[in-house]
Amino acid sequence: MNKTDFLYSLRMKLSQLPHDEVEKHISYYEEMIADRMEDGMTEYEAVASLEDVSVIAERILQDTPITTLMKTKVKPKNGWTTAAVIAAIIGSPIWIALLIALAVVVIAVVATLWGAAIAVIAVVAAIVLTGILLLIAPFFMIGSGLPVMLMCFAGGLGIIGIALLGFVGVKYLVKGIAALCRAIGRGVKSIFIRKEN
Amino acid sequence: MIDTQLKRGLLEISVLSVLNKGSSHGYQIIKDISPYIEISESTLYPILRRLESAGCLTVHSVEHNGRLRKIYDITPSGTERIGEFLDSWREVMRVYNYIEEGWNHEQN
Repeated sequence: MNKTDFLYSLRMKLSQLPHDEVEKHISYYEEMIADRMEDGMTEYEAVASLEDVSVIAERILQDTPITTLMKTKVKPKNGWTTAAVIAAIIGSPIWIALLIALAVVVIAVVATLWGAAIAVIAVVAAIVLTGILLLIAPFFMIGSGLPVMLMCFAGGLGIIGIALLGFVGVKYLVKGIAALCRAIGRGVKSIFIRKEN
Repeated sequence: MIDTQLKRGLLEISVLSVLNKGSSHGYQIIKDISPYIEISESTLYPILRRLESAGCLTVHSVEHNGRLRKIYDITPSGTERIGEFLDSWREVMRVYNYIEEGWNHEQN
């Protein structure tokens, strides 16, 4: 692929972004290709050394704020003509409801995931507290005899040990949920990314 | 494999570190950083924009071989950010050395 084809393809794939934004990206890649050619590469080698144009476009669109993507996604191809405005108003009971439903579903899923994480943290914290209580308890039950006191103390140590292992699990759980939430965010964004060939 | 968030932070500081040695342009920044950490054009661009909007660098265009080339310069705020990074990593390195010592002791 030569420079012109590469830049044309990138421009097409970014067509849903505002014009000045597209131009900034184009001039950046134009400069990158020119610098590589100045470094001794041929035009084809310079283009080939860059990532695939689809990968570049996808990354740019994923980095674009969702509000910008939404604005351009809903913008009619011929701009906001009177007919387009009327159609948008007539269709508003449907698209506004769909948009709200989507937002509510996303918020509910994210809240459920973090709710589950908080519940697990609370369970582990409760286990730690039980362990601590079992460690302190023997001092208040001197009359029960040494074997019972030792059993209680050992039980406390064991429970705290289990809880510490639980915290390792919690760490991975929180990391996993954070990654899942990021993936959901990317998924929601991709709904508003227009697919160009 | 470096964690994504950590890598993003390291890349930002690496870019600032290149600029701390002097003004530079996009391709040169990639060439300077690449031997140490993987970076591509599509990764660099959002980093440059983030650092610019955070006031850590400034950008201006200069004429070069009949075309315009964007030149990036570090700001005092960018230099400060490198200092903050080094301070916090000194602590991390202390813990790292402690862990490594324990590991080596176990191996011997």
